[in-house]
Amino acid sequence: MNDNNFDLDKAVQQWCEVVLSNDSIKSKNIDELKDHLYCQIEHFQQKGKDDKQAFKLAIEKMGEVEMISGEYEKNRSFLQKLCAFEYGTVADHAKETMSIKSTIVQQSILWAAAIIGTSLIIEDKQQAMSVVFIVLLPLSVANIISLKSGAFAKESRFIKSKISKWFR
Amino acid sequence: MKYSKDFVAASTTPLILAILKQGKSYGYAIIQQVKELSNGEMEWADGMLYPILHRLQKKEFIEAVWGVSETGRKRKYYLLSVLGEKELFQQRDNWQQLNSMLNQLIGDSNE
Repeated sequence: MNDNNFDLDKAVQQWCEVVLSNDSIKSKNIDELKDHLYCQIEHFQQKGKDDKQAFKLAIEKMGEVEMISGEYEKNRSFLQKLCAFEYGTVADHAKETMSIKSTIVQQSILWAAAIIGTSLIIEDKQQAMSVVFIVLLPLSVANIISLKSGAFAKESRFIKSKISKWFR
Repeated sequence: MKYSKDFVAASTTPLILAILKQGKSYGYAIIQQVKELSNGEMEWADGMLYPILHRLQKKEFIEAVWGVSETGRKRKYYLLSVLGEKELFQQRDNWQQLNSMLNQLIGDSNE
């Protein structure tokens, strides 16, 4: 009765990869979901289904990946969302126009400047403000402008839709 | 019986905590137990439970430990914490209060 061409473990592994490709679901959570999926598969196997049918029924019961990730998304802190957003825009942009390397260099300069600027402010140096305004501000503006194509358009669309919701 | 989304959302926490009050358990078993307790009427979507468990863990109502299943698979078990037990009794009192208020208003029969 078993379909010999069907590799259950491989199918489960593939399902895990699809779930993990959604960045709301962290890899530390996958073992738990995997155990659940196997429990569900075993349940259907005990009811007389073959591996393939049991797998199919089990992933149906598991729900859509979007639905699962939507629930996980609620657990993220604001900072995590912001990091994912920042990482997402940089990664998207890197794919489109320039090499990942140059994006990393650009981001590194910006962050280095930010760190120097803030450390000077903390130390209460007199030139702190001028460093922030002469180095940090232009760099961040340059950074945003360089990211404006594609990713930036997406950002502003997102912000615009938020704003129009407030004013409705 | 039909349960609204809001009702399910409000009832998951006390149910999970009450199940864990009886001893450590894991996601799949919790879903099965809820199904049995409700005679098959309350069926939670599989994917929704784990994020809720993680939220309860963050609030320190429950603790998680990794263990091994009968078949040797890695399995995450959840346990009720002292704080969680307190929350459970608090929530039970709230539901009992609501129940008694509704009974006073419309009685507990189905007429």
